[in-house]
Order: sequence, then C-alpha cells, then structure tokens
Amino acid sequence: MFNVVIVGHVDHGKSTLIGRLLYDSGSVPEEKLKEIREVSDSLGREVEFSYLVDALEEERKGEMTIETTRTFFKSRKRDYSIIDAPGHLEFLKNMITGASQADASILIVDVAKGVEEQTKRHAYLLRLLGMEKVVVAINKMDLVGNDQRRFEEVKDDISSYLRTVGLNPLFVIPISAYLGDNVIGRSESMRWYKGPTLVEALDSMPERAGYPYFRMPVQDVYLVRGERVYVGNVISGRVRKGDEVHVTGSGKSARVEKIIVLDGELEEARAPKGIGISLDPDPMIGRGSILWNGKGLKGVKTIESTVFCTEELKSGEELEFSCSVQEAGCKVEVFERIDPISLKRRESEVLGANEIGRIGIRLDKEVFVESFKELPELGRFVLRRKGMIVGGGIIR
Amino acid sequence: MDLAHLESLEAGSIYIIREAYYKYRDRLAALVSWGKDSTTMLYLIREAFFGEVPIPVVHIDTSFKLKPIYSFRDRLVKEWNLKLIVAKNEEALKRGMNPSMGRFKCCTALKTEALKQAIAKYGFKALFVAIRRDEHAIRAKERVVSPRDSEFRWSITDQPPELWDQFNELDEEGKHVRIHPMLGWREIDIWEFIKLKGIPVNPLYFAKKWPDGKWRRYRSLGCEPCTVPIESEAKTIDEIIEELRSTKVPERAGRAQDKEMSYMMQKLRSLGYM
Repeated sequence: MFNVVIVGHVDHGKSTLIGRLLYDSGSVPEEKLKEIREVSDSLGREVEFSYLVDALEEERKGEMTIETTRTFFKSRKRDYSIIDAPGHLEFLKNMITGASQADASILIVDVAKGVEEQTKRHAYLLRLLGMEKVVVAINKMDLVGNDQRRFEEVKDDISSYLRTVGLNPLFVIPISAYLGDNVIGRSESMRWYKGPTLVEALDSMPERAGYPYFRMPVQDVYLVRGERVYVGNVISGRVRKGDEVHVTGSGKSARVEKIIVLDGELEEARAPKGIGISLDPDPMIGRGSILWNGKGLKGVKTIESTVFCTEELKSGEELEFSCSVQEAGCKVEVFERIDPISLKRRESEVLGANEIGRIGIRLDKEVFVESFKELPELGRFVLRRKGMIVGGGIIR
Repeated sequence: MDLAHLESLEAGSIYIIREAYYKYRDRLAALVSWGKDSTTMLYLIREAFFGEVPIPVVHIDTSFKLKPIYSFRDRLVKEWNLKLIVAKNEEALKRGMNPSMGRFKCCTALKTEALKQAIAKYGFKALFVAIRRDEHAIRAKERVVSPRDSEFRWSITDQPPELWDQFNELDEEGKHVRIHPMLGWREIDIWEFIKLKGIPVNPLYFAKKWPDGKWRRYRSLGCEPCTVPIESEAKTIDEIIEELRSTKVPERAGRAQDKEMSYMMQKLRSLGYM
C-alpha cells in the first residue's frame, strides 16, 4: 500500500482529482455513483466527482473540503491510499494530519490561477514534514485551451519556489482532473507533453527503504507468566534470540532470552513487528528506553528545529515533548517566525496558530534520535500541551 | 495476498493498542459487535497481550441483533476468556423502542444512549472501536484517537491534529476518547488476515440458500430489522476474498443507517454513534 496525499490551494481541484482517480480506475461502486448523481441534482449542480470524498453536509453545501479523508484505488502496479487534504488556511491542522501519513505527495496548481498562498504554504509544510517524493500536477489545462506556454510559465513559477525551500519535484505534469487528461489515461489534446501521466509518475516511485539496524522503542513492561517482558514494535532491522542488545540511556547491554508473540516464541523478528522481549540479565528499564544494536543512536538534550504549530507558542513556555515513545518535559524558545509565502524571516518570541518558525527546545532529560531521512520514527517529534498535540517537526 | 502489507497493518494496530493501554489502563474498554472487524480487533488485542484480553469487552445490545450474533458472542467469551459487559438501554426497550419508531431515533436510543449509560456506570475514559476508513465516507475522516465531549459529540469539522504515530491524550472530566486501531484496514485486508491467522468468524458471513432458492450472505452485521443480506454464493473465506476483488457494491449496502442522501451517518456520528 502506497499512501499519497494531495495538497494545494483551495479550489485548485484536489477533491475532483481524487474523484477522477477513483472513477477512472473503476473503484467507485455503482450505488455510490447513483447517490452522487442524486445529491448533485438536488443541489442543482452537474455531477460532482468531489462528492466522492467530500461527504460532509457542510462540505457539499459549502463546496469545499474541511476534513482530511482517505480513499483507495488500484493502479496496474500497486494499491494506493489517497489522502485528500483541505486547502483552506483554517483547516491547516487537517492538512498536516493527512500529509504526515503519506509516503508521497501531489501538489496541485490551477494553471489559470497559478501559484497561490496555500500552494506555497502546503509546499513549505511538506518540506517541514520531511516529504521528499513530490509530484506537481498543473490542473485545469482544459480552461487554458491546453496551452503549453501557460503550462511552462506556471511550471517555472512553482519549480523556483520549491527549489528555494529545498524541495525537488520528481515530475511536473499538465492535467485536467475534470476531463481525466493525463491522470490515468494519456491526453489526446496535449500531444506536446511527453512525460508520464500522473499515475505513471506515482507508479515509478520506490517504496521506503528499510534502515538496517535493530531498533525497538519500549512501549511498556508486562508481566507474562511471571516474567518481565518488554513490549514494543521492531521499527527497523531484525533481532534474534541470543543477540546482544543495548539499552539507550543506561549503558546497559543484555542477551535476548526470548522473543514472545501470541502463539509462543520466535527465533527472529523483523520490522515491522509488535513483539515482547525478555532479557538476561534483566536491565530493569521502562517505557521510553530503546533496545538497539549496530550503529549507536544520538543522545540529545537540546533540539533546534523549524516547526509549525497549530496553537500559539511562546518563548519560555513549558510543554511536553514526544519522539516515538520517548517522553520528556521541555522549555521552548522561539527564535524567528517564517512566512512561507514571502519566505521572510522575522525575529519573534511568539508563534501564532498555523504559523511556522525556528525554535529551540530544551529537554529535561536526554532523548535518543536519528535523522528523519534515515529512520523517520526516531527523527520526528511533537510538542503537546496537556497531552494535546500543538506542533511538531523533524530532525534533519 | 500481500503479506508485507498485512504485517504492517498488524504491527500498526498492536502499537496503537499498547499505547492506549499504557495511557488509560483500567479506564479502557473494547466496544465490540461480534462482526468480523470487532473479532479481528479482539484477536489483535490478544496478540498485543500474548493471549490475554486485560480490558472489559462491551457489547451494546439493542436486543434486535441477528440471532447467530448472540451464540457467536457466547462462544468467543468462553474461548478467549473475555470480561463481557452487556450494555442495554432497558428503559427505552421498556418503552417499546424499535426501528418502526424511526431508524434514527432507534439507533440513537438503543446504541448511542446505551453506550452513554455504560460509560457513566463504569467510568471508561477510552474505548477501542473497530471502525475502518473504507467503510464509509464519514468514517474516512476519523482520527485514530478521536475525542468526544460529555454529550458524546464528535466535532468533525474541528478535530485536533494527529501526527505520524503520535496520538492526542485527553484527560478531561466528562470527556472520553474513541480509539480506532483498525482505521487503516480495508475490508479485504480483514478477510485476508482472518484467513492467515485462522480467526473465528460469525457463520452469517457465509452464503446459504434461502427459501426462494437464491444464495445470500451477510456482508456487514447489524440489527435484524435494519440489515439485509447480499446475493452471493461465497461459502468460504477464499470465495469471499474472491468476491471482494471484483465487487462494485459497497460493504454497508445492506445497512439502513448508512445512506448518505440525508447525511444520516454524519448526524448519528456527531451525536456519538460508532
């Protein structure tokens, strides 16, 4: 399963594109199409593909996506889960929620309107979330008579912005989601375009490569038939019975005595797998330690990073920090605010809701991290206030 | 069968289940209907705890459920040693509540209200629910951890952000969270996993010959008056998987409360329905 998020400015056609992907790939049940036709009729509109994802009453009547959603389709190569992200600024936390679950992304730009505010903001956030696989779809080509020159203009515009923020789009594709041109099928009206269709571009993207070293963040300690068992998911590499593993933060090492699952014991476990491990000698650790071998992890007590926040953040504030199952208290210091539209940086001690900025995080205990690129699970973090997520970022 | 895909779903669900247990311990329960999704969720809970189900299992019993659901329930409770809590809105049933008084009214009274009563009685702060995104366009918009206020309302247009594998924790008086460990599973994933692991399933899912000579099976299980079987000749798990690969009929086509025409699912869910 390959997860793709569709982002971009409001009304540039995200939901319509998803509707088109579902329809052209034959993923829409007959009954559903009938419902969509009837609802479109009752609102006095043409058949609206976006209703396939915009299921909320508020979304259909207001003609906009509010909440991120998920649909599935199958290409000739593999199964896809498509995440629709809302384009309005006020629903940014929903866009981030959707994008954080994606392996790749489609940034959609209306060819007539060109690059707009949320196009840039979304692109910036993709970069901030560590997204590297980005395809740009220049949409509504039918509205400009499939004009190649206009396509090239918008392509140059968006490409130059993306380059400035450090994103490198794999493809820039002229499409019409409304007519289905260059989505799954190749367009007859844009013969000047020689690159892949949107789905061909998606199909060409490789799955995420695994990290070779064993890592298992300890979620909890259970007593199983009188024995202390450390439970958690193997997030990378593999572990075998008898292996020597190390424990972050303690300097301790131990031998893997048993690997436990529902049906009994395993000789070996590979990522991704939820297991239990008993160790000899028992290091007497708890939640938040990471069992590992191979290359060591980096212990940090301060982190400097570009973050986005969904609620206001002030210098000096004490918040909770989580990276995988590692939890710590922290104090944040806001350095500067970054405007993703103009890319201007301004010194600031406060970040408002939906803003992006550079901050320092001082942790009240050491946590162990990897770069996001190598092992995303240990290269990303969130900030919480009373348990609720208010922001996040990655470790480069 | 894409084994790597199933293993990744399985590991993801076990992770969510263990996170929830760490945060909520004895204030956590599993809400189950004894359909294929809840049964798979119970199996995943057993995997997370090495054969044990350490939390109560709550069955919202409208008393109108298809008969074989009850016998299947009793069998699983025994085999898996489950701590069963049956939640019924006795007062509404005494008043004679039934689907002929209006489906919306009936679902709200016998499901949502019954759940409210159970939460008040046992003080649960978190509930596992086996809903999936591909079941319904409204459920597709859910979070893994989804807060509900004291009135059980789901503010679907104002949900908190949820990032990667980090979930919100809510500990406020009167509120609770729904936790959805199976949100990313598809119907076909469930069946392939059931096959892979040999998980018991309710016999209602397998096709039988009806008195009119046609073969039918239930694709989604609910209350007898509001659930209809689909025409199908799939008599085994393999045949069900085969059927799902080619069908164009939605999974919950036989469920009356799902019709999107009147946004009934959205209205039910915003009031606290599962």
